[in-house]
Amino acid sequence: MTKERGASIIFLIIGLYGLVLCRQLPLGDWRDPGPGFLPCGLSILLIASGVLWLIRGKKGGEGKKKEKIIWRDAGKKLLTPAKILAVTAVFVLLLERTGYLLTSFLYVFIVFFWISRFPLWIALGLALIIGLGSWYFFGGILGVPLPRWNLFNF
Amino acid sequence: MDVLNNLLDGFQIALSYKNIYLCLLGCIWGTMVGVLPGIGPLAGITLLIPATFGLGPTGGIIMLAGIYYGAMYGGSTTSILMNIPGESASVVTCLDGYQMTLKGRGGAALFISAWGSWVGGTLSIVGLMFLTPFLANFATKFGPPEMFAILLIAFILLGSLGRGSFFRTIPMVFLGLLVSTIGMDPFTGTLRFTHGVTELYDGIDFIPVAMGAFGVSEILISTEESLVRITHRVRLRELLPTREELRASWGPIFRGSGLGFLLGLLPGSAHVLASFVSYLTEKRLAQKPEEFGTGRIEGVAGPETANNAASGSAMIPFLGLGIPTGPAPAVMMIALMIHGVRPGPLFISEHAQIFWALIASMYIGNVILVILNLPLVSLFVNMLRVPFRILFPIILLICLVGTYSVNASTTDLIVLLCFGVFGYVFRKLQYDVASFILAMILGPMMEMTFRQSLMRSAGSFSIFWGSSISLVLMVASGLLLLWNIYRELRPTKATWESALKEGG
Amino acid sequence: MKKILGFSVFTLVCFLSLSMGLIQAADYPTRPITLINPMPPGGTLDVQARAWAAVAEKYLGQTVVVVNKPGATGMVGAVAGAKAQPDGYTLTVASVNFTNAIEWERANGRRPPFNYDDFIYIGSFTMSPTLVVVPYDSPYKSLQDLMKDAQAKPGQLVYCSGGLYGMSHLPIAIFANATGLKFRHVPYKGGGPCLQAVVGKHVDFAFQYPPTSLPLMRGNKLRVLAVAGERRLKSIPDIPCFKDLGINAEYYGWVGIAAPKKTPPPIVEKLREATKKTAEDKAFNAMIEKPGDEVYYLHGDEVRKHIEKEGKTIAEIDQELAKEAPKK
Repeated sequence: MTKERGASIIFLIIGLYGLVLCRQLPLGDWRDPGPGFLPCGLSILLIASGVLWLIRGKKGGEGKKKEKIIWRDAGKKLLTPAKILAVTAVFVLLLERTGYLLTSFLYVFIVFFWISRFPLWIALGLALIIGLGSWYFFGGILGVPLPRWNLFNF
Repeated sequence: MDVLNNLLDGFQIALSYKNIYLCLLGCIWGTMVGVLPGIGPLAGITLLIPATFGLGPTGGIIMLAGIYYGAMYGGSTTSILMNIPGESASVVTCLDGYQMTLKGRGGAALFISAWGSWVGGTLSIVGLMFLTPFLANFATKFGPPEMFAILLIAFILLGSLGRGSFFRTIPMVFLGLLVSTIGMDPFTGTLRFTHGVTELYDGIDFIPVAMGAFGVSEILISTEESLVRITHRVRLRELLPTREELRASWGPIFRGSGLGFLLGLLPGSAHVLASFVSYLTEKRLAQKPEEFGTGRIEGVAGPETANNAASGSAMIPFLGLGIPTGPAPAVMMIALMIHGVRPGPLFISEHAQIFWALIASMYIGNVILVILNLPLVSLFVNMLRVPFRILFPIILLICLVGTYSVNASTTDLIVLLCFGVFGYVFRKLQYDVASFILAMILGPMMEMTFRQSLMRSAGSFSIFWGSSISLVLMVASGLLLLWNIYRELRPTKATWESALKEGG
Repeated sequence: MKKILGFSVFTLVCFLSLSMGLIQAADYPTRPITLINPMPPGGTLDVQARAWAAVAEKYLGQTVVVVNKPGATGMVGAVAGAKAQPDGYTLTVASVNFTNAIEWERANGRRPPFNYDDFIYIGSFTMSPTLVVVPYDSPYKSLQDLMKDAQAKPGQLVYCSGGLYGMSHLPIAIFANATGLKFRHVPYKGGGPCLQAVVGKHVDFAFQYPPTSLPLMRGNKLRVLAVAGERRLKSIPDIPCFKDLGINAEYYGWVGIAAPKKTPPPIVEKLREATKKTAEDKAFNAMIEKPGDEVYYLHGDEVRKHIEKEGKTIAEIDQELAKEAPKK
């Protein structure tokens, strides 16, 4: 599985998805393009790109180096980013329910404790400073409308 | 000369303590708002409208204008230092700016960006001063066919953006265009790819995509191996650009001013267009275009100048005609209306004082901003020396708040994360994410102007070369396309040599 | 032991939150109020809403913070406003866009994400008709000229609007329906670009609102042929209105305030009073009238009745428009 092939497969899948969906839209013609005109055209182009690259990949692309995806390393490399994504996703889901102050504090705390591996007290302290500081700076000074925790209204 | 007399009068008003103070306030606020990604000048201006209620029209508009171009100055900071576009016009700055930071030249990039912004801003005000009545009318001659022709040129330029293989850019461009069709079709009201999610009706907002695909993905990639990032200690001398860099920047700065000024007149978010046409132009004109994307100063100087120049000229249709061409001038116009001043074709004659005071304070504002931004360069660069383990959640928080601040929407945050993953995946696969984003911006505008033109002409294509402006532009785009093809197909030195070897 | 502690804490929290709710109802408002604006920042609606917020603060005694939640012609913000806590601290800017959005969804066979009765209407403060505008050197000297030409060349005259099924498209559709004329529609993104197209002579005419059109008229960049409503405007008394010309095609852009449907009546009363006072406030009137609009106050119940009326007209026209969308 080379990088080019991986990308081609992605393009192919997205192109197929687009093609399936866009067929329901009226197409129109060159003189009066309908809403489906552009999406269908693009989906076809994407599929074509995907297919072309797969073929080109097999033939061995003119001396250009193909770069392989090394699966073994991938697992290790993905660990931290995956953790970060997971915690951030939780932040996003909680944000409007528990308000910015609490959510950001929890978020920063978890990141510092679990991912950056700070000792508990330091993580708590830093999280408090960053949470409060950012709340004051963004919400207070810049006036960004940050969600409040409906129960306690901060 | 009449103009200069009026300008002097304007300076008299603008140099009052109150007005200088308001200008300063606006500039500082604008810089903060601009530095913070996502928030952008629009929100900053809108938030402060109530504060201007007590100020009177002159003071009010001076402050609001200060916010507007202050934000243009600040927008490049996070783009250069953290690869997070501060606002839409700064996306292109991320490309080379961030690479310069990684090489330790971040300070120089910031410096040149501030400097270019000053030149671009000031030159654009000069243009504004002399040419408003004439240019305001010119801007209205740009209808859908003309806009489409310009976008076509930009699109052709885009095809040559990708670093390295042409083939790694093209599918991303297609993907960007496809993603840009998500939402309600403005012509027929049919929903494309929305799966019943109301928040997607207007399509995917571009700020979360850019912040995700650039900023978040950058963090994800950086944290793969370890949480330690080696930043080298920056000394004061290194903050300043080298003589070479300065010399290299002059061309882009002047070209950027011109391009930005012209493009800023156009409707829509022309400062975005200006910054990236400037980038693409510089790339085309450079001696070693392959190096763009690895940290060339031209890639920062040009776009940053262009976007400041564009913000100056974007005020022309608004001041000269009373038609705002973008959301930020629209808000300023409405602020004026609240104060009882009606912007419109008679604005300059009826309210000459306000107009000239505004122009004078724009000069002052640009100077204030340059003085403000230069020392801030070392401040910002040093902020980056905070250990990465502590810094990265802060950066993520900035991205999250910045995205949320645009529409107060959690859906945007989800988009942010999704495109963070998207950016991560494609950057690992070594495909060009910048082309994707730029295609996403161009796409809707191109589709819209194309269909608007055809609707107007009832399907006849002749509308595209009907007016003299569109004819010239279409011819230009045709030539550009031919030139591009020629450059791709032209035998390179290497193939000549191997052909000679084989032959001889 | 832990269980007892946990239970006590839980009870305490419940008690505190409930009592805070009760305290709040008694002397509302005790903290800042959020006003959700479903329209993008900077538009005329946004500015009028902010003007209301700035003046109503005086009568309510607490700051009113405007938060823009744009999307889907106002549907995103409206849904957020409908789902908000009915404690009077989260209000929504209601406007004709509610009706526009709901009826368009229905006409396309989709269930709208919110409904009229998800809100209690506090009141409205503008009721603006559109103006028929043409480029300055257009050959049409009056609305009758335009209509005659349109009859002679059906489907050839081009108009622009700020967006499909929006506030500047529907009045024309209603007009076309009432007069049996056919035009070609070129949608733009917003009123501003559409006006620019009129000034630049890229289209033949458009229907736009007074605050943005009047300055251009005064600057001789375009001409106003008629007022698309039943009354003439104070600022341009010489221009005939549709009623004068015998055309029955009314559409008004109105802006008002709404609260989630379960908001307690005493709070609603307080808000209604504040809105009425704001509508009569001199500063507020100045802010609305200076750009060229007019203040026109309607009590919340009257707003609801108006919505019913316009709902019918808009539903009808949306059905027509939905049918016309190309279904090849």
